[in-house]
Amino acid sequence: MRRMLAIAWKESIEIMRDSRTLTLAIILPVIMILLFGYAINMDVDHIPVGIADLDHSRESREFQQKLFSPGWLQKKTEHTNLEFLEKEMQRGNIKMIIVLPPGFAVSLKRADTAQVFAGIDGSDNMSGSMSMAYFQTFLALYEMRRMELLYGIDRDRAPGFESLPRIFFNPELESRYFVLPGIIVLTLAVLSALLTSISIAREWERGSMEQLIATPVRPWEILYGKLLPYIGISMIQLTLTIILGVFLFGVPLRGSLLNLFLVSLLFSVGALGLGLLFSSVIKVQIIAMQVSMIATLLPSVFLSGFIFPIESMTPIIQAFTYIVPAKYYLVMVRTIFLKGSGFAAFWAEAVFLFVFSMIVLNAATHKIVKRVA
Amino acid sequence: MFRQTVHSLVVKELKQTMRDKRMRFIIFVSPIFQMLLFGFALDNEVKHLPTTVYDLDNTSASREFIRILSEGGYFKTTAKQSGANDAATELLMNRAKVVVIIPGNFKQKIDSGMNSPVQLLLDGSDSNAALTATNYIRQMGQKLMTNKPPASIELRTFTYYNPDMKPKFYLVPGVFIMVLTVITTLLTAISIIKEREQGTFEQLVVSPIHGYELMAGKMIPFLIIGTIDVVLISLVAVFGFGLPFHAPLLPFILINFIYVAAMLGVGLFISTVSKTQQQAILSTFMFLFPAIILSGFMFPIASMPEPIQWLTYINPLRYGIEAERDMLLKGSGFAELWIHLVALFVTTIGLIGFGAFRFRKMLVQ
Amino acid sequence: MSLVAQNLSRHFKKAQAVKNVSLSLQPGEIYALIGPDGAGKTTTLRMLAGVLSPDSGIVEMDGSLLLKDESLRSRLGYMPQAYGLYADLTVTENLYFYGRLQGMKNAELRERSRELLSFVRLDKFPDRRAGALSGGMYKKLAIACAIVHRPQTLILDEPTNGVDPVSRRELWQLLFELSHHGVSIIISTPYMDEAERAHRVGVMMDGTLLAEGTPKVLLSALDGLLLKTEKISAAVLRDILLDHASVYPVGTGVHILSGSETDARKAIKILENKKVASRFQKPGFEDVFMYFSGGGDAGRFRSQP
Repeated sequence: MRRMLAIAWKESIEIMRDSRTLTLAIILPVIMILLFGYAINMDVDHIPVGIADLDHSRESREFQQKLFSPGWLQKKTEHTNLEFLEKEMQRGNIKMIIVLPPGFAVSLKRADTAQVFAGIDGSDNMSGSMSMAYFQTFLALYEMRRMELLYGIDRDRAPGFESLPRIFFNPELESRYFVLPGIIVLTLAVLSALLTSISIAREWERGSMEQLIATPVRPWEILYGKLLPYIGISMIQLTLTIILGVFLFGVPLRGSLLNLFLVSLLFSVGALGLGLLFSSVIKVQIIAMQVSMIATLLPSVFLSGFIFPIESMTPIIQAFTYIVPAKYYLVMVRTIFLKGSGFAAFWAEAVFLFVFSMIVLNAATHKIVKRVA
Repeated sequence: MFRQTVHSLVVKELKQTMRDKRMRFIIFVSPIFQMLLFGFALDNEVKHLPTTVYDLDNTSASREFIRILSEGGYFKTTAKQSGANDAATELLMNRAKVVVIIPGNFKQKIDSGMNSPVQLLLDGSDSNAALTATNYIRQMGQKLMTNKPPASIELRTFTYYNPDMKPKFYLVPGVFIMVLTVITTLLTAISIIKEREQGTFEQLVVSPIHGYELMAGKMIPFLIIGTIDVVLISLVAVFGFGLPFHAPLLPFILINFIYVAAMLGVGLFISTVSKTQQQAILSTFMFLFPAIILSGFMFPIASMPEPIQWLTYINPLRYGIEAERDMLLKGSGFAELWIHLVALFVTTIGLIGFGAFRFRKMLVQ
Repeated sequence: MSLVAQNLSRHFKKAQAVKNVSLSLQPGEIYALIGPDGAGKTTTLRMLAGVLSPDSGIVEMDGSLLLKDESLRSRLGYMPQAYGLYADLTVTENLYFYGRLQGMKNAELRERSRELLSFVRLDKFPDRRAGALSGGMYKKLAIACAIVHRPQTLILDEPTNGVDPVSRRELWQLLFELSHHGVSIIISTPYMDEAERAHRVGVMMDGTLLAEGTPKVLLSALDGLLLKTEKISAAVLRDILLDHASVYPVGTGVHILSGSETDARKAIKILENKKVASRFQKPGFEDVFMYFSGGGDAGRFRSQP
């Protein structure tokens, strides 16, 4: 125990004296939160659209006006030549092409079926599919209003079924609520592993490991001694990000702060342990860091369920996500922040994370060989 | 003289990098592995949403409703006959993301030609899923409506470049750029820092080598490695994911080459502002993470606030991803992508120029 | 007997680094392991320190196996060749760190570090970062860290390498004082002249211990076998003497080492015929090494600083 504390004490001094790294480690999460709190908006807005109004009627202009006035779709170009519009799309200047064919107004007036053509850029799904969904909704409403005007149909009386959606926890579907917890998780996941990934490799490269081996210090004492100060840094990072998220961006923290810190503690032990594991297996700083970067950055972005739903992944890939600790942590952070529920809601995740951390720490302890075999 | 010095530096660097088994793994195996993993993983269509259905009616009509609900693979339903009072708990306890409550008089109302409301509780903490679920169920509603009034407007749709709207097609080019970026920036930044930490840098500095030769000697090997990675990744994209390769060859090669050079510039820049490997890796992260998020890959740029949008104009990843997508899927060439080409070129020149400036200062010290 | 090693062998990949080495240390003894680079000195010391496990053979301390009994490590001080002090920690902090790893308490350490710093003459710089120390000061701090817990056995791998002559002499003074207090010390060195200061010397070459003994005994083995000439190149001498003796350059001249006294006289005659002056020479440890290695590879020695 005293030896472990000695290691922790030494490690802390080293961290504090390397002020650049310490500053970066603390400033980085703050910058991330600030940047993404402002930048990320999942709602599709201002999608540039090219329109070909071949009808040139009062109705078609009115249709256009109604379509573009909410600002979701934005008229970028108007041209009667479809080929011109297609070129524009290829250049990436517009994401959607809408064609109002000749006779649009006439068909509407005659209560015939008027045709509308819409093409989207399939290479950019984000704007593509969402603008199409928006256009469909617009058409349905447009039609409904016309129906009411023409026939006086009262929609509520229409037979069939109707869904009454109620959205819990985030009724306005504020993307900020959804994104900020994710950013907290990503930042902690990557930074933790990066910070510790060098710490054992550095002892090998410096030659001090040889010296440590000759002392009575046990592998677990080295490992946990190194873990302690970094847990401190993680907690500082977490505190800063929570403060910014709650007070600056108004993300509600509905659950218990204590729970948030508890699960974060659990998570940072696992994430830091992962870095230590890489470090003790690889023994060379440069490679250990590259491996941690590769093993944490993209997986935390892609496989954590942050943006891309895990449920949609193929079973093999889903199985792979079990070793991405950010996945568990994300569920817990979102739950605590937005739902306010306690451990009953995420005990499974907590257990997974605990098991993950234990396995990682154990493996790392075993990999800190006390003797060069 | 120039050629000989640079040649020997390049050979030294390549040997040094390639001799290490782990480095070979990082350079050649990990991009392929990552491409495969993320390429197969990514599918932003929301599917298999865990859904609890409270069927308080338990009639043929309500069961039919549940059957249709489970059909498309969008909802993974668990039916319950009672306990609807605790419906919200299902969301609270993370047991479901969607809760559907079918009221007790569902069949009776439908049979008597009345509107029968179905209650839908959605987990807004995952707003993506909530939004998609609402849309699905609304579409289902239209399907179920028995006597729809005749449509007065018929919508004909078409999807350019990706007629089946396969998510892989637009996601893979993004993954392409990301994997390439992480590898190339890291390699360059770390290799220079490492040399400086080990003190071999001073040895190079005292030798009669010019600063620009030294830089060329550092960058050419990684340009070669990066280009090899481009080829590997493209092969995985085309043969592993069946991506159409509409790209005209010359622009494809040139743009990728310039992109790799730009990333080397980033690496060079980072190495000149960092003293230790740890600082270098943190700085790399500080560049990569925002660059990924602001690339338009996951979050639409058009929706970002204006100042942030300006920021994306100096983000090489944005140009890289757009160019990659346009070339692969649309078959765009120089005519369409000259802006990207110029932007990447300017970024490269700027970064390498600034890197060179700092590099020289570093040498003089 | 404080430290006993029996039949140590160790290989790395295909190379056999150490073959069947046995040696032992008496309390208060300074034992010097000499030999050229790559002789297996470091590998031997690492096995003695319990940092490397031997393929075969055992290391015992006070009758217990070193690799079995973790508590023995606190009776052992080890300073590896590339000693890693923490550059960001101060002189005192480095001492405290290693002391704490050995289970020492703060009160005890406060006194011990004051005592040690004056012992290694670093008492003027207790708060200087280790990274800012000069080479000699760094080595002295390293030794201080290795002995902070008062080990009874001290293993030092090339402690004088890269240290200026003044600091080297100081380092040896420290070793003598320690041995005076009963600490047994084993050091390795590529500098032959240092061997004379040790109580006992082991000559290592290609992983084997060729000879062992007090400096006097080892040197006396060469009595009457060694000649010295000046102003002639070793290559020319080799041509003249052919197979009669081994010839190698040392310092300002060339040494001629004969297999026996009769051979030596034969060599003198041949040289006289060629009008080359030669005289008997008092042997040094470089000659001792040449003798025991059978005229081995002198070029592998590092020149004396």
